Amino acid sequence: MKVENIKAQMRKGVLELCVLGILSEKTMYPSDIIQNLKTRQLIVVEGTLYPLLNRLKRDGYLSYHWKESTSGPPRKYYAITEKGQELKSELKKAWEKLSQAVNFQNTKKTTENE
Amino acid sequence: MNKIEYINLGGIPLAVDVDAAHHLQNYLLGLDNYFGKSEHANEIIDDIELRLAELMEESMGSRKVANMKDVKYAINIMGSPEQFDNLEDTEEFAESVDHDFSEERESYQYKRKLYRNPDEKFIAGVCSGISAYFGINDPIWIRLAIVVFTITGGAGILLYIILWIVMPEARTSIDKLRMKGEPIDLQNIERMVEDGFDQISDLADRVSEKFTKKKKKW
Repeated sequence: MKVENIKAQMRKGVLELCVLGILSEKTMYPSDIIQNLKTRQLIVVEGTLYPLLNRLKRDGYLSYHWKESTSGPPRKYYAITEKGQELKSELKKAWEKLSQAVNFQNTKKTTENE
Repeated sequence: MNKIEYINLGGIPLAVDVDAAHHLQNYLLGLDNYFGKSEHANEIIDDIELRLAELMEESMGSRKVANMKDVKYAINIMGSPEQFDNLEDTEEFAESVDHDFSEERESYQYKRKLYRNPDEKFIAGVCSGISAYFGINDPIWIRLAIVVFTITGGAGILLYIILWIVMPEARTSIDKLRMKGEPIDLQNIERMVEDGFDQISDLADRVSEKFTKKKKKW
């Protein structure tokens, strides 16, 4: 197994939570979401996001509306739904628990080594 | 001077030179095969197309005609289906790539379907499609069977015509893989796409269709 693959799997696990988190602040156009995720190095290629948004929308965690744009065709703006908010807080709890557990494990190991 | 094609990408009209358009088309074909055919897939692809168009416009700046550089720029940012795959599961295809040689791979091997084979045809590819379906290497045996059946007083020609009407032609890469019962995974699809299998055989088809149509007006 390649190191890059392991890292990618780790990022994959938290991507939903990150998208929900970003959208809970304000509604956004996919490119803005991508920009946000990219600056934090959470995704490598943009194509990753589109199937994910579609799935979250299909399951009722996100909704979108069309908005006219000054240049080109109307754009889709995504917003988080109430169901999405619930999912977000649940995932957030899980993430906090997990990161605590992982951090604890790793700090313990380092101190033992010393 | 390169020829120019006018395309509509996610609702945005673009002028693209032929080589670049061809490259883009191959990429979109790969996406299409990757996401499969469903309402959701269409929606995802529409969104991706719109974004590709934006990225190309971004790269073009004030130029009016998009070239290979612009297409590659957009595709590079969007990523290839294998790259999405590291991070994203789509229900139909992703799994088979993840578990390389597990038994699950078997279940992604589509059942053989009966198609007319446009790449190896004598008249309409009926016999060659039947051979592929039964895993016979050379369609000559089925052809002979039809001929013998006709000579011995059977309705071979009528049978052939009925099969011609009933059997769909294998048009897309996926159809052709199904016809031969090969597992539909990215490697196989890519291989076919890269070989330009589709474009060339489609072109040959259209040409030969025209010819056969003309011939039939005895």
